[in-house]
Amino acid sequence: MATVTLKNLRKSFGKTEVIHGVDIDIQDGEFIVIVGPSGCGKSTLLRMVAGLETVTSGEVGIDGRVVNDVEPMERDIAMVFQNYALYPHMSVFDNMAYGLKIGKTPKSEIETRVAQAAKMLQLEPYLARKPRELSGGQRQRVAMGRAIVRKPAVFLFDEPLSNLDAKLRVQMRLEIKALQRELGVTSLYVTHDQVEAMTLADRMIVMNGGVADQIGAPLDVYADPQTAFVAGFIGSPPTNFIEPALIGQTGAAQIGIRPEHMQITQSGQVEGSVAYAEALGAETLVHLRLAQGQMITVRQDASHPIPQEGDTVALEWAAQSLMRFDQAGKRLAD
Amino acid sequence: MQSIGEAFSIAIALVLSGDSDLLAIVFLSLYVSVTATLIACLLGFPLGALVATRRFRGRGVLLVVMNALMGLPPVVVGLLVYLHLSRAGPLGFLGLLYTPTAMIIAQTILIMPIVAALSRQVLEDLHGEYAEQFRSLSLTPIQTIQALVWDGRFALLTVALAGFGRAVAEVGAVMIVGGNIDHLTRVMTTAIALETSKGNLGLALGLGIVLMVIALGVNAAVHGLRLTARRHAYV
Amino acid sequence: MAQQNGMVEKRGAGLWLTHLGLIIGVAFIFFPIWLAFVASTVEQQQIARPPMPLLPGDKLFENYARALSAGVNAPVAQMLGNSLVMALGIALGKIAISLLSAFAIVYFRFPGRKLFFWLIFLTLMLPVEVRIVPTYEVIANFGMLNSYQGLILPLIASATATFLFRQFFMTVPDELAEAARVDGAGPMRFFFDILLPMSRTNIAALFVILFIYGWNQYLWPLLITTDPDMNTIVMGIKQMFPSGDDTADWPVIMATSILAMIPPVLVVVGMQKLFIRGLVESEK
Repeated sequence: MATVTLKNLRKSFGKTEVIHGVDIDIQDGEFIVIVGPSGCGKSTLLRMVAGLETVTSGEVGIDGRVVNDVEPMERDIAMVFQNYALYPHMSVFDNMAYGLKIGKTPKSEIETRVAQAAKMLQLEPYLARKPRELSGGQRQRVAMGRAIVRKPAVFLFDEPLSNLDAKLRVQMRLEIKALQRELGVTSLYVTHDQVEAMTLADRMIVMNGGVADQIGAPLDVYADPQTAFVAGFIGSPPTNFIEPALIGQTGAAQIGIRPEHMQITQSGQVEGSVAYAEALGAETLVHLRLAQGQMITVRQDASHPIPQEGDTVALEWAAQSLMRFDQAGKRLAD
Repeated sequence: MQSIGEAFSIAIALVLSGDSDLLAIVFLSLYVSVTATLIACLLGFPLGALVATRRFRGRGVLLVVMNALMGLPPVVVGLLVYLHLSRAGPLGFLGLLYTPTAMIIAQTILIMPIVAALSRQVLEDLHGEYAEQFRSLSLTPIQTIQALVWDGRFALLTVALAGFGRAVAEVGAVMIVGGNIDHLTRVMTTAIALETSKGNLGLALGLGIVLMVIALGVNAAVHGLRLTARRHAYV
Repeated sequence: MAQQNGMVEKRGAGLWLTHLGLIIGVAFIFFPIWLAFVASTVEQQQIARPPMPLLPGDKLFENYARALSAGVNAPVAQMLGNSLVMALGIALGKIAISLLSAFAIVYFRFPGRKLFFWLIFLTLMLPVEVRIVPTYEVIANFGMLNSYQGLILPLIASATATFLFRQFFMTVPDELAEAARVDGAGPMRFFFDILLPMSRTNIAALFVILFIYGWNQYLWPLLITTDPDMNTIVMGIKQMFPSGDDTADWPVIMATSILAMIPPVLVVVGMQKLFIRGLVESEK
């Protein structure tokens, strides 16, 4: 168990800087999710903590010790990779035991630990199998088992669920969360999937172009995005951005409003025509075209009537649900 | 024995001046190996295509025989050819021993199985890709093979070049059936062997340089062809 | 409709023709080997005088025993041993060196990495026969004539094998190397524990090809072994040929060539799948 500290962490490949200084203090036992679109530097950040990428400047600290130049193995971390990275020629048991064998752990101890992990992950019947004889979800569990048996101070997850199908992803997400709660190990988890981020994180780091745009608890980030990027990235369907002039606002470069914060009414702040409506069952997404041709999405409960395509309708919203951003995308005070 | 530096300058001089002995040896080598390659392809491609596309009784035996032939030491192949062409042998009346024709026969036997095996692999891969389509067009076996050979022409050309590379660098069999007779059956490899063991490094090295240029040329051609083939495949 | 019927008939006839052709072809291939075998079981006089006999004689054991224990210049048993040492040495040595160089080229960043790769590739792409003269000089200067080292070392370096393993290593996902690093495996540990076992099939395929290649080497042993005790069997056959007017001991020569082709043919036939795979990959 340990804290993790990143201090003004930067990374350059050649002359291009890809991480522009990230700071965070991670508490012992905290589950941190790093989320962002591809190419935002989230994996690079994780790999710097793992020791698989060198640190260009700044500090990585694990449990109060600066580990910039420490080999991955000495950092007391364990990592779960996107493609599982299981050793194809080794049995499930050997895959889990390999790190311990290298660490010269006594044989009996290795057996106990692997047995424990296998039980926890329901892998007991498969210990003698080779990875290719397992399903995707089972491989994923083996990769987790390999991390668990090490009893590391920090778990690092690099998009561990991205190769699973949607249903399995939901199940494994719950299992990971339960496991982390049970073991209480500090975790860093990289994903591009905001649902994973929202459900797993104690706190999340939203990365954008090598910068940590916002760090905070999921609901805080959702409710109070600090930049236009975060507002657009977190939440599904994404936040609508509207020309301030269109709704009589001044002093902001753009206005954001979430689809769920708008209602379709007979008369409201702005009018639009219904382009199409997606009825999803519990809710309906109504896509509207405003006068200027701009598209807006409204999310409404299934209890509301579904408007006809081509109808002209009005929109209204509560004033406090508007989010105002400046030219650079920074949030302005209301 | 000459020093290597001395030998090297003699070699360069021989190559650049187009020494007639050296040229004769080079031309004979090319004549023998190119002919052998052509014959081997003529026999090997159809054989490879047959084994790649058809299932028939005895196919397994044929494969084993083809593979076993590749394992034969070239010298033994040379000896077998020698045995047949020698005066006492069944083909002795042809009087072919110690002639370029004997060397062509030996080289053909040596590289034909390789050409067949490699072309079989090429055509089998292609066939696997197209089999369903061919069936849907209900092509005859001959048409199938025609289509495959046409489509795989670049790959087959590289197979031929690989065969040529082996043939031209072969020494044991050619030495036995040709006898390494000056101006008659002396080719590059046998000349290199003889001159090196005599300590006459200049000529040996000169021939080595020519052989190297040919080997590099063949490799470059194979590489170029592969690029062309790839470009072709994605057009 | 009529056309279709014709096609079926033609196909049947074609099948028979193919079979006939194949049978003749196989006979054509086997006849010489049979003849060689027959020649190894009869007496000298029967071979020298046409027509050659077509059925085995009664001297099988005698001829083979004479070949194995005495031979012409050196006992064939000795030459078989030399060939075995050379073929194994070349195969194992080549595999070891190529694995390590491919490992270095793929997994380590060092200055001139690309340059080294192409240098290896260019120089060693050439067959032994091409670079034989300078190599002979080097080996002679090291005093390695008539030695196993001299027979094996120059043939060990291999661009094709290095290239093959390089291609294979490049298909191994980077994540695997990283997982091993996180597990605490150093580079050599990763090499031996992970990369090597993963390359098993490739190694086996290459071994088959290289064993044959080593066994069938002719020119190189011919040049550097002057001592009959160091002769390999393949070159030994040529050495048995009569020079000038000496009469050749044909039964022994034939027995020797039968003995020379048994090991490679056994290896090829016994490991056909691996052999073809190795052949196709090394010709790529």
